[in-house]
Amino acid sequence: MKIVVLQIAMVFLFFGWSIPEKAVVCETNYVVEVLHPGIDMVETVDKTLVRSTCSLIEPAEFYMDVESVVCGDLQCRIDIIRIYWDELGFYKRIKLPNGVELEKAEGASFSQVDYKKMDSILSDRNSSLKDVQKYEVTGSETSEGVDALAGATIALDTKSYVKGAVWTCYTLWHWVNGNITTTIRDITGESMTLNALVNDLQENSMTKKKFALEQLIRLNFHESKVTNAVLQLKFQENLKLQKLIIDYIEQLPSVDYFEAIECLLKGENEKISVLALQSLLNTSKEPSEDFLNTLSKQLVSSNSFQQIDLFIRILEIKELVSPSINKHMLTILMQSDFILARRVYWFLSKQELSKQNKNQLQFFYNNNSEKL
Amino acid sequence: MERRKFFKRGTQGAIAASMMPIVGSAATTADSIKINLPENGIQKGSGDSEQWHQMGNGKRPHPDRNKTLDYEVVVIGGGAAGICAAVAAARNGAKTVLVQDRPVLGGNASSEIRVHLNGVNHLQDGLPERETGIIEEFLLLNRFQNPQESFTVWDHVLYDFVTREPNLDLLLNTSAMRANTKNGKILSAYCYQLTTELEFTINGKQFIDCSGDGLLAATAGALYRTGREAAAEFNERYAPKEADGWQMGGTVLLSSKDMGRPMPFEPPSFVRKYETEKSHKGRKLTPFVEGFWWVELGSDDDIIADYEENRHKLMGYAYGVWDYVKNSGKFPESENYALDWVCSLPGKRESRRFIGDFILSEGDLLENRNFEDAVAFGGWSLDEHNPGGIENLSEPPSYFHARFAEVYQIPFRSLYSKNVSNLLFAGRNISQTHMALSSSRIMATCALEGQAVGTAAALCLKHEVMPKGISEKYVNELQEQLMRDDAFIPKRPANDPKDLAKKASLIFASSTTSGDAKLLTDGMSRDIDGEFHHWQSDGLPATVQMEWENPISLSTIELKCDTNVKRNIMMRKDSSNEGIYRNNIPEELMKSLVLEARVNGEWMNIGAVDKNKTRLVKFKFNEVKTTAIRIQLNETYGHKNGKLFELRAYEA
Ligand SMILES: Cc1cc2nc3c(=O)[nH]c(=O)nc-3n(C[C@H](O)[C@H](O)[C@H](O)COP(=O)(O)OP(=O)(O)OC[C@H]3O[C@@H](n4cnc5c(N)ncnc54)[C@H](O)[C@@H]3O)c2cc1C
Repeated sequence: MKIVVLQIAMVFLFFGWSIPEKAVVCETNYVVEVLHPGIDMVETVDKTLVRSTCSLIEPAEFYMDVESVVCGDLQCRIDIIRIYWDELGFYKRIKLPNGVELEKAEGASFSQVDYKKMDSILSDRNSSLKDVQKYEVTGSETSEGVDALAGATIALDTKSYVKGAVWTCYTLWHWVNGNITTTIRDITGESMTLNALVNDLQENSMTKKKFALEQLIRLNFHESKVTNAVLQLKFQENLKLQKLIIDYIEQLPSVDYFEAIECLLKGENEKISVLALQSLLNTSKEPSEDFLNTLSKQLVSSNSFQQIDLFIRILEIKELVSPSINKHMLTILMQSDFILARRVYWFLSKQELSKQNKNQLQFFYNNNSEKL
Repeated sequence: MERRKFFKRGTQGAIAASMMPIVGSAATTADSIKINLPENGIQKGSGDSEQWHQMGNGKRPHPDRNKTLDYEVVVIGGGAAGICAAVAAARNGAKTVLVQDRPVLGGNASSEIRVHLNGVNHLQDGLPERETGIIEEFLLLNRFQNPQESFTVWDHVLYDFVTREPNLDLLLNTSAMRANTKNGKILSAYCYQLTTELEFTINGKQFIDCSGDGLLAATAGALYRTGREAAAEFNERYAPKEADGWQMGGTVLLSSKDMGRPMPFEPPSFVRKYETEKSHKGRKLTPFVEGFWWVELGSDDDIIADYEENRHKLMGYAYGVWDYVKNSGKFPESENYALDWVCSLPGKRESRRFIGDFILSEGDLLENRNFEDAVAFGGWSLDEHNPGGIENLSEPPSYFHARFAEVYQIPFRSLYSKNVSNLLFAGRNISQTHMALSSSRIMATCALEGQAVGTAAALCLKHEVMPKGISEKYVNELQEQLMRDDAFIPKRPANDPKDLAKKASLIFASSTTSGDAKLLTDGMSRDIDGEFHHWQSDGLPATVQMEWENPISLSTIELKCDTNVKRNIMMRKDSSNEGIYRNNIPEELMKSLVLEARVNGEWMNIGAVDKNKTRLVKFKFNEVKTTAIRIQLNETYGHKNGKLFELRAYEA
């Protein structure tokens, strides 16, 4: 996204807002390109996003003035609404010009309950408004054929909109949760020091961790203190964060990448271990024999079918077998998990093994031939 | 292929074969066609082509064409309910015939009538809970074979769907006129084929009446009701205080087309003036393009006997409304529009409702009653059309009494006759009150009942019982079979003891964005009641793998993929692709998949589908002894992830 920073510490005058009129020197203006599916699916519109650090106690916040409804036929009433976000691009609140109320069908004003519902709709990033198309929202009531029920052609569950104001909800939701959130995060990321980002990784808040990691990836920070801090996250269960960790390590130089994989697999976190092995399966980076050796030793103790299955696929596809790996794998045959042992048995039966190892394999076969 | 074989088998040579207008594959008992000879026996008919040519000389006697056919299951009526009943019976192993009195299949949804094949189009939350199973299969087939959305092609999509089914024969243009019964059991259906002068006696073991009006069932002496129950009888909130004979009516629909230039309209002589000023505002005149469902006439008496009279009036009213649109000057936007199609055969909504072991009523629906023998579901609102129809202009054309927050169940006990032992029914004629019908008459709901009774009829043969026997002893088996065949029964997870997938020691997927691979064996084949029952991959290709501790013999793998049951996919006259309607192939549907089994440590390809067209995907293969299977999901019809709801595995 193109962002043009207009002016730092610009003097700003407000009009018609309930905010007292005064000159402020704590705001930065950015001209940003915003994509709003209600306006166009590909063409962006230019808007002014403001970063405000005016509050002495609160962290910075962002705001932008937008139209309350995107109006095709110029027949609807458009109000200018100010939307506020926090530093990480999450919705905070909306503000209307003095004396203006949002409107529902047939001119009725929003009630307090409607505003509350609107607030919760706008805060919900996974609202079903996210996936519907403009035409689905405007779907006319009249197109119902025979035995029709009036007004039920909107492909949305009723939690996602204020009755009689579905189009306003749709319009505002996409202003609030569109690509502007990424812009805000990027502006915030760029305003932070490396140390501050690393600190955020260590914060309790998942939101902050994800934000910091996303920015570290975007800004290409590969210092070892960063990598170490990222790898500390390997115990986390959040899938999105886990995928970011993999994205991060995939950017590292080969040596660091393989070290990171090893470290992730040590975490005993099944999900991230599987993601790490999938990364290994798909990478074009060449692993050393030593690395694979260590890995095989480590995986043997994981007792995880999916991990060992993936590891074997890596060995088979990349043709990377070695006697010591086979030796480690043989120990699995002695383990109690039969399904796992059987997977390894079939792998080993295709390998060249020492006489002693062959005997071990034969022993396994003799004991389990019925179950193979 | 099969059909040609059948012709060859005809014993009467070319002529007799061409007189056997059965479409399908199964051979029938070969009564020859008899010619009634006059007393003096002037001519002996040889039955060959020579004789046929002599008929023009006036010396030939009146032909008496009789044919006796033997089937296990006889289904009357080829609407949504009858198609599903016949296909279900045939697929479950019964030699089946479908008897349909008109030239095309589809009932009210055919090109003759063009009612939208609606179902649970939207619950209170605004979203559908679409029906799956056989009904979905042919709605999807229509999306593949009829992207242009032609109603006459749709007729033939249905024709294809029925005639391609092994074990199922179709008799078109054939009316079931009466039942031959003995001791409260139907022995045969006497039928007449309009196009061939043929009179059929169709012997059967189980009879399913899906004809709406239910002439066969009525002549069998099956008990039935008509009209509206008094509120007190079933404690129905929206029923009238006093019982009466009112039945919702038939409608003449129409369609118009923008001709791109002003089009005048001259009404025909039989037109009936439409009096807008006297009409309730619920009689909406816009949009006018696809006609008016409220051009309706019912009856408080014998609605079947009144049909032809009502048809004539309805045609007059339909043209009358159109005349108003075109010539009143109130709709200048109609200037370029002209009638493109007008129905000649009013669709029917209500007549006989047969009585079963249970009569479904309003409270069962509104209170979402849980039935041990639930086999189908519905969820269209209570949509009771006004008494009087278009001759009662001051009332709204329909009372949408209540909408449903969740789908309701339909029990098996309302799908078979209380007093005719081998008679089942599905469609608008089931055992229910007028109020229950006001919701359940919707065609996809009727179709689910059809699949249930077709399956039940086949089970009757298997266990040598009557439908009541199924109700008493084999309901669980019926429900399991229905769910295996992709029907959904609310609040009833599947638990098929023969399904080996449930016995797998391990199931995992290569990637997951939502749900869990373990949910594929939890018995629920859709996300419902706020719970996930799916696994969704993170991108494609993706794999799901199942491991068994001990080797198993497999010959069938069945999986249910996603078709987005939160959208409606039936064909509509307006071709809507908005909101909850879709007019194309669901992008979520899996297009290509590969199935592998691990044998002696090696993965073997045992099945592949390249252009899948169904939600229920069945892989059948020569029996393999294996310890693991792997399904590779390669491509959908547009969605970036693959999504499955169920995975089953069966021995031969
Ligand atoms: C104008 C109109 C609008 C409606 N709106 C909707 C709607 O929007 N969506 C919806 O889903 N439903 C709607 N309905 C209701 C719905 O169409 C019916 O309730 C439904 O068709 C009943 O299904 P069925 O399979 O029982 O009967 P049908 O669809 O009527 O099928 C019965 C079939 O049996 C055949 N048949 C009858 N008697 C015999 C016989 N003796 N021998 C052989 N064959 C016979 C008939 O020709 C017919 O093809 C509407 C109905 C009408 C009339």
